[in-house]
Amino acid sequence: MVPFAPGGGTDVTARALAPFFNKHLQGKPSVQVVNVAGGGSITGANTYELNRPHDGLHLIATSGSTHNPYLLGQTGVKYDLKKLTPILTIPQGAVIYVSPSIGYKEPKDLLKPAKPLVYAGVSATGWDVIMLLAWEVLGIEVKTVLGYEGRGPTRVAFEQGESNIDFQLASAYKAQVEPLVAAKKAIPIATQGMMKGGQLVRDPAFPELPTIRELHISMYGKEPSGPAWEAYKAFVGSNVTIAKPLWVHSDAPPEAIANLRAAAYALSVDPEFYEKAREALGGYGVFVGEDLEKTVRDIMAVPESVLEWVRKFLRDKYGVKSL
Amino acid sequence: MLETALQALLIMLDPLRLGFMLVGIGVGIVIGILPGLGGMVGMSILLPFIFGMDPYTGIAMLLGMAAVIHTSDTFPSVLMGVPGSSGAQATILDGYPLAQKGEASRALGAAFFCSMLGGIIGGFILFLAIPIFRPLVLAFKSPELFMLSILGLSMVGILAGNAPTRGILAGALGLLLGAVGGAPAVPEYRYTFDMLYLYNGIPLAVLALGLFAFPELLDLLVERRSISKSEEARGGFVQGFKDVIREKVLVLWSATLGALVGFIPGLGGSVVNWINYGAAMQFCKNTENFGKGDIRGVIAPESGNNAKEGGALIPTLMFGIPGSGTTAILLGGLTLMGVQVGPRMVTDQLTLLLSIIWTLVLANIIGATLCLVLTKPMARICMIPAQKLVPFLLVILIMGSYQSSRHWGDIIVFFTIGLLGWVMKHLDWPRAPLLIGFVLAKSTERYLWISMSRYGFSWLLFPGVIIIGIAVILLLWGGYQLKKRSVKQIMAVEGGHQG
Repeated sequence: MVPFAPGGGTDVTARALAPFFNKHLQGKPSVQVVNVAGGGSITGANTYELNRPHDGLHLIATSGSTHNPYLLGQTGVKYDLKKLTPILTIPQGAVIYVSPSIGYKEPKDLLKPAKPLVYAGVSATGWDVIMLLAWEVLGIEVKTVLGYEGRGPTRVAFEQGESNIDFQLASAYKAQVEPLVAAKKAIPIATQGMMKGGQLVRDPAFPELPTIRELHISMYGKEPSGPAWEAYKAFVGSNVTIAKPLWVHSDAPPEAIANLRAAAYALSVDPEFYEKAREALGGYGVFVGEDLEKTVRDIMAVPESVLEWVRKFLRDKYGVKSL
Repeated sequence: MLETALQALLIMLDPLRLGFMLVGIGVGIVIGILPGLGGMVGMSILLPFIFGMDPYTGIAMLLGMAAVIHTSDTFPSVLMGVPGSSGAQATILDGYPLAQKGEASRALGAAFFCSMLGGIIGGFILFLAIPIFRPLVLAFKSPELFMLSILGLSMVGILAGNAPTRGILAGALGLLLGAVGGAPAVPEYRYTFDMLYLYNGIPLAVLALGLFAFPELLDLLVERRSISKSEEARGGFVQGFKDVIREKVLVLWSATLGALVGFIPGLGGSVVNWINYGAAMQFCKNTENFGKGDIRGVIAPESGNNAKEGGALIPTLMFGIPGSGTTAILLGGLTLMGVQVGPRMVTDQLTLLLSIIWTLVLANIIGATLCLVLTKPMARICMIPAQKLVPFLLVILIMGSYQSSRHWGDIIVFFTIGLLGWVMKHLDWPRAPLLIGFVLAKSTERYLWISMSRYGFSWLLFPGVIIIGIAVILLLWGGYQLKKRSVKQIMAVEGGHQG
C-alpha cells in the first residue's frame, strides 16, 4: 500500500520495488501497488494499521510525511510505527545551497550575510522541520516563508530571487540545481547529513560536502548540543535515513516476515535491480536487515522531552496549531 | 532543430509505438466519455504498465491518453449536460441547448474539429516556447501568480451575466467550499469536523458532477422527456466543420489563451474552459445567444481545453513542477522510465521533448477522428426517454464520484452538492462562479500568504502586479459595460414594440 496518490516519490519507489519483490519472494507472488491517498498519508497509514489483515501479505511504503506526524503526535494519527517492522529502506539525502548574493565564503558568513537570509519552505511539520531546527542549531537568523506548494516551487523561488537559501533532495539537486552551480548561480554549503549508528555522518552521495554538525564546529569550535540538536538528529533519521521505507506488521506470521527479510536482502544484492531502478534510487543503496531495524528502533526511541520541545518550538515560533 | 524534429516523428511512427499510442487513446476516449473520471484516473490505470518500457513508447501511451480526454469529454457535456471531465463544463452551457434543439451532431462535429485544431496549436506553442521556457516561468513570482488568480476570479463577474450580485455570492461560496480541508500554506485544517475524509477537501470531480450533472438528471426525470426536445437530429457534423472554419480566428486565440493559462501553475485546467468562454463572451459580437445554443460557446472552450495540455507540459518538463494531477502522475511515470526532466531536457533530450510534442499532435488528430466516427451512434442517446436513461446515468455518476477517494463520503458530498446545484438552478443563481471560486481558492490563498510573508505590502508595487491589476479592472469594467449595453438593447426592443 502506498498512502499517496500515484506518481509521487513514494509511489514511484514502490512501483520500482514491486517486480523485484515478485522475483525474490518465495513462491513468486504477484505484487500489486495500491494507492490509498488522503490526509497527507495519514489516512492510508491508519487504514493499513486498522483495516488490513496482519498476515504478512500486506506491506506499506511510507515517507517523512508519514513519520513526522507520528513523532509529533498530530491529530488524526491512529497508526503506531513502533508496531511495524521495517523490511527495507532507500535513504534520500538533501543538499543545502545558497545564492552567491549573500557573500558566502565560509560557514561563519551565515552569521553576518551580505543580505538577510530568506528561506522558502513548504510546511513546518514536513521535511522543512529539519531546516527550522538547523537554523536553531547554528544560531543563524533566517526569515522563513512557508506555504509553497512543493520542493519544485521552492527551487523556482530560489531562481527568481524570492529566497536565497534552499535545500533540495538529492535527485532534484542533481537534475535541477547542479546546472545552477555550474552557472555560478548557486553555492552548495552542506548536506543535511545522515544518521548512522547514532551519529550524524556525511551523506554518501555527496561525500565532499560537510554536514550541519561540521558547520557548527567550524562556526563555534565545538560540537552542537542541546534539545534543538537532539531534535535535528531525530528528524534527519526519520526523513533522510528512512526516507522511503517498506514495512510489515510486526505481529504478522514469523515465516512471512522471514521470507520478506530474505527477499529484501536478495534484492539489495541484485545487480538487475540497481540497473533498472536507478532513477528511483537516486544514487543511494538499499538498507536492509538487522542494521536497518536497529536504526529504526533508535529513531523511534526519541525521548518524549525532545518531542515536547519540538512541539513547543513549532507552536511558539511558527504558530503551528495542530500539535 | 528541424532534423531532430523529423527524427522524433519517425520514432513515434514506429508501428509498436503507434500501437501503444492507440491503447492510450482508447483509454483516454473512454475516460473522457465517462463523467467524473479525469486524466488522473487514466494515468493511474496506465502507470503500472510503464515500468520497463522505453521512454518513447511510454510517452506515446501516457500522452496519447491525456491528449484525447478533452476531445471525448464533449460527448457527455453536449449530449447529457453532464461534464465528462473537469475541463468540459463550459461546453455544457451552449452544447447542451444545441442538443436539445436537435443539433447534437453539429455541436459534436464542431467540438471535435476545434479540439483537434486546439490540440495541434497547443503542441505548436509548446514547440515555440522551448527557447523561452525558463525565463517565462521565472517571470511569474508569487505576487504575480496571486494577481493571475484574481484575474481568474474576475471571470466570475462576466459569467454571472445578468445577476452580478448572485454571481459574486456564488463565487464567495465557492471560495468557502474551497477552504475546506488542509490550508494551502500552513499545517492547519479547516471545516473538517474531525472527519479524516474532509482533510483533503471536497474533491473537484464530485463537486462538478454534483453541481452540474445532478440537477440536469433530476430535471430530466421530472419533465419525463428525452434530452432532445425535437425529434429529428438536424445539422450533421459537416455543418459543425463549416462553423469551425468560419470561426477560425476564435479557434486560434481560444487555443492560444488555453495554452497560456495551462502553462501557469496553480490556475489549473478546470478554469481554462471558463476563461475561454468568458473571453469569448467579452470579445465576440452579438453574444445574446450565448447560453442558448450559440455554436461559438462550444468552439471557444473546446479549442482551449485541448491546447492547455501543451501549455501545462511546459512547467512540468522544464522544472519538474506539475501543473495538474495528470501531469504529476506523468512526472512519476517519466521517472520510472529513467527520464530526468529539467533544464537539461532541451540540450540532452531534445528528441524526447520533440517526440512529446509529436505525440500530442498525432494523438489529437487520431482521437478527434475516432470521436467523429462515434458521433452518430452517440447522438442517438439524446433520443432515449428519461426513465430509461437517468437511472443508468445516475449509477455512472455515482461511480464516477466514488472514484475520487473511494470513500462513502464522496457519495454523500455528491448528493449534498447536487441538491445545492438543483436549488441554484431553479432559483436562477449562476453556478459557474461557484466552481471558479472553489478551484481558485487554494492558489489565491497560497500566493497571497507567500506574497505577504515575503514582501510585506511592497509587492503591490511590482510592475507585473500592476499590469495584471489593470487587466482585471478593464475586464470587470468591460463586463459591466456589456451588461449595461444588453439591458439597454432589451429596453430598446421593448420600447420599439410598445411604440
